[in-house]
Amino acid sequence: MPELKLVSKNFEYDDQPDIKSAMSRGAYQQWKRVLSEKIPPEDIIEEVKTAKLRGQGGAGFPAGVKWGFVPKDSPKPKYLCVNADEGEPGTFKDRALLEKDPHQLLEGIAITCYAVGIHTAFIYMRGEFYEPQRIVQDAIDQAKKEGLLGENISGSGFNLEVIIHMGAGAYICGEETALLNSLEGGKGWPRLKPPFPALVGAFNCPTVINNVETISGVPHILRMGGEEFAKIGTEKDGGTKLFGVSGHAAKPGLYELPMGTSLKELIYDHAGGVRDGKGLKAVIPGGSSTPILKPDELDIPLEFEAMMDAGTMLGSGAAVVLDETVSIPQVFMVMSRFYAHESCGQCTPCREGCTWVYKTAKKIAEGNGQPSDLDLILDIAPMFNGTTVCPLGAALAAPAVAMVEKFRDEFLKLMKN
Amino acid sequence: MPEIIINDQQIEVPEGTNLILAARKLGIDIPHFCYHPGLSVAGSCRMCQVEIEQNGRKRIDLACTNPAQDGMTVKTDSPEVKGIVKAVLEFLLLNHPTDCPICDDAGECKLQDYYMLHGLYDNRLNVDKWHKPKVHRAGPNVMLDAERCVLCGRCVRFCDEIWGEKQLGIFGHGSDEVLMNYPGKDLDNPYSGNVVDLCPVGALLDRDFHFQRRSWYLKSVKSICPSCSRGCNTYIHFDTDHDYKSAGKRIMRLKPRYNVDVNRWWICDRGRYGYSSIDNPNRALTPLIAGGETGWEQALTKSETLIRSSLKKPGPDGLALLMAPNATNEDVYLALRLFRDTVKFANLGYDIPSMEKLAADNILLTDDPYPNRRGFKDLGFGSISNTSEAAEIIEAIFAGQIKGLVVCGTNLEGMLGNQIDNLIAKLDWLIVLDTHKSSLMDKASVALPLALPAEREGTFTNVKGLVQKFEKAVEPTGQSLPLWEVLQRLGKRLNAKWSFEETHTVFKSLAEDKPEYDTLNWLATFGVNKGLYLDSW
Ligand SMILES: Cc1cc2nc3c(=O)[nH]c(=O)nc-3n(C[C@H](O)[C@H](O)[C@H](O)COP(=O)(O)O)c2cc1C
Ligand code: SF4
Ligand code: SF4
Ligand code: FES
Repeated sequence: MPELKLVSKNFEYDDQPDIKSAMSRGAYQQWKRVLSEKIPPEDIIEEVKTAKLRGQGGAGFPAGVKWGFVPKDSPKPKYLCVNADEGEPGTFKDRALLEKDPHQLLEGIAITCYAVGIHTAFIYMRGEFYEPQRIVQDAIDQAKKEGLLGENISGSGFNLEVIIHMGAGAYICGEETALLNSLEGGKGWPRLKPPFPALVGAFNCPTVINNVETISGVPHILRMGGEEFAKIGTEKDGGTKLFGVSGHAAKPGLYELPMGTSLKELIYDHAGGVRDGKGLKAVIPGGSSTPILKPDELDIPLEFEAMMDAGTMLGSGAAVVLDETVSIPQVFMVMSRFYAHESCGQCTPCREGCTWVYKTAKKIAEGNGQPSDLDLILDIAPMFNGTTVCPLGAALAAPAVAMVEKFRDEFLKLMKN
Repeated sequence: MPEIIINDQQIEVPEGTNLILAARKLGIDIPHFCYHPGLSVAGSCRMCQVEIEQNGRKRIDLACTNPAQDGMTVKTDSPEVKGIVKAVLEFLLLNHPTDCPICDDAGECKLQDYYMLHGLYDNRLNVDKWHKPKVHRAGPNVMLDAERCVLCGRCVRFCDEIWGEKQLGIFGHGSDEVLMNYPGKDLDNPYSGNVVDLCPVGALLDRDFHFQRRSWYLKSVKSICPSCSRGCNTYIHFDTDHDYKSAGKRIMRLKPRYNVDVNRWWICDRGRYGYSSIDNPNRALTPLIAGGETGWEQALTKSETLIRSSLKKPGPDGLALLMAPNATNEDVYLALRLFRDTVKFANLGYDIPSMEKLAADNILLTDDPYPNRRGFKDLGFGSISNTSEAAEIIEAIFAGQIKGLVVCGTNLEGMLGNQIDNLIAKLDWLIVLDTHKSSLMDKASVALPLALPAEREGTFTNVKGLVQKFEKAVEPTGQSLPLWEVLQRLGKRLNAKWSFEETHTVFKSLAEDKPEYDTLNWLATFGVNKGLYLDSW
């Protein structure tokens, strides 16, 4: 399938962060329409449900359904948290959305808040995003000046404050409930669910949490209509997705494709296959938390369910291409070090299990491993998958099992006996 | 009330009861580290996994976070549950130093217990263990071995939720995480010792108990803390068989005993660490006459003679009894029967102004350092004259109106300072009964040594009017005796018409006059126990 640009439509224009230029290309038209036509909020939620817009942060939860969980008659304030933590190794789509088209995100935020009845939106940005922070803050200021955010927007009586909150650089703070604790000034430890944030979220108030890309898609749904948007994708996954290809691809970069495009097509047709004519060893399809695929396993549609059926995940859509020169035990060691370091340490299986796997992986990569170490990994990994507070443990466990099972010979070659 | 089935047994529990509590009602212990009924639910140790079948669907989930819901079927022993519990335990023990032979908590440690119950696997550690601070002073009473910590967070939540100030925290992330003092904070809250009880392993330890005794040597009796009028329920842990380490030290520590109406799971540090006054070189060991050691017979004969000599002149108005409200109800009862009813002293005082000002808080501590003021009031002490104020009695002595004085456990020297000799000079005689040596005892005509609550049984009535019994842990020090027994012996000499052989018969008689006190079923109680009652969670 050819590229189909919705959220990345205006990436090519350097002046897109300027509100006048953005408006000349259609920015805020849907937001103005919502206000002038006084579209009922429920209709917007219905439209987003019809559009089959799925969460683009990794889990793929239908956005409209999530919004519908927020109580309509809550006596407490409600909040929107835009997840701009983008910590998943391999992922670089949200940064582009923030830097290249901040007004698209702000318009999405405004429409989402209007639909759910929210008057304060936070953008939780990872601590290293200095440049995106500057650009988005600038965009907020411009939009306020234009009367598109702030008090009594366009005389509608609707107020909306958008606040950027910078994280301190922990991967776990991208997990939605750790994000809430961090936002509140606490330690970035995930919370027990239930209660879900839609009922008890930021400051104990109902809260919608969505990824940058998810929210950026909202204006397009209003522009096209939910049905048209849904038609682009597959039966369950509407619209497009920004796929980020990195590693040993000939043409690494961001590609916006309809949901359901095959992974093989993404790697070979769009990203040009493996660079320098080398052979392909493997692809990590959706960020480091998704189980690795061998070259003969790439013919899968890029949609949430199909990827699950294939034993992996769509994740954040960040495909890492690994050529034949790559040592999988080395990749495994680096990857497990990341999770061992980023485990928040709150719950036992993840805290201890990730480190145990990392130390074992290191031992193997350094040539001191034994075959029994591989069996140990296969034995303990399932014990921190699903037994934990949040899915960080699973994010190492599943890829660890896949790597050891699929590349066992390569691991064994590193062992003395 | 929801009705559920746990391991094929049916049980009905109040709405909101979680599965750990529900199972415990059936005698089934679901292993857990972070859950404690007195703290908020953290759900972080992941040890309490069970299988829950509900609405036709099965899932593995936590027992601590799931309230019992009608129709739930819970299994704590399915193969899958057992596998996960074992795995979580293996994770927790992986980096544990396993230095049980030098750990005070050995014998009371959840890691040990759960390994025997749910572990019993061979060690698979194939990499180096991490190391963390091994000996750290967490506060004036508590030390920390961070390597042993399982990061359950109970101690942190205790400081946050019960005391109300962050003094401990869990810092870092991943397996570098470490429990430590909050930056710039000492673990110095007046309830700090409770974190030692809460700690499921040997990470937080009582500094006073460090290396003192193996826990399995300790015996335990149920007691009541005598350090303030709250009357917190305690256990006295003692050992008289292994004093190779600390000769003469019998009481090893005090631990809180759960009582939902009084102290729940907690006691304050003042009460907890106050036991050092018991096995103390300053205890009064023998009766004294004019400062010289003697036996009970001689001392009691002397006391009898002094009291008899004054009954005509100066007579009842010239005689006084001063007691501190730390005597038991049985003591008070016999004191009244002797001094008020038999020899008819006109001046009875107990309202001693306390030397020590306690800061009451809204947790447990009251501002009254005496355990039985309420009992004195209830039993009518001082009501026969207007001289229930100790200060008035002292004034009357200085005015030459009172010539004979019996003093029980009051710190008159502390009250009067260098006026004490002037006071004594005004008296014909002074009889002092006390637990600890003092210059007042040396100066008294007769001095009689008393046993402490740990050395006898009895009852105190707490600030809310609850009558609570405590048991005897160890024998009275030296020749000391419980006060009621001294009063019994003296009464016999002074022709009292009553006679009691045991504490509980005194109480029975007391309760006949005071029916509210009859709610305590004396016989349905306790006895010395081998092993520990830690009300363990
Ligand atoms: C360990 C961990 C890290 C995560 N990091 C991110 C992140 O960086 N950005 C993000 O959008 N979602 C992240 N998520 C997913 C969020 O928890 C959440 O599902 C998401 O923000 C919801 O938005 P969506 O429905 O629009 O995808 C992470 C989840 C986990 C378990
Ligand atoms: S699974 Fe890992 S990251 Fe998630 S709460 Fe537990 S320790 Fe923290
Ligand atoms: S010191 Fe003890 S109570 Fe505190 S977190 Fe560690 S194991 Fe838990
Ligand atoms: S998770 Fe339930 S007791 Fe710790």
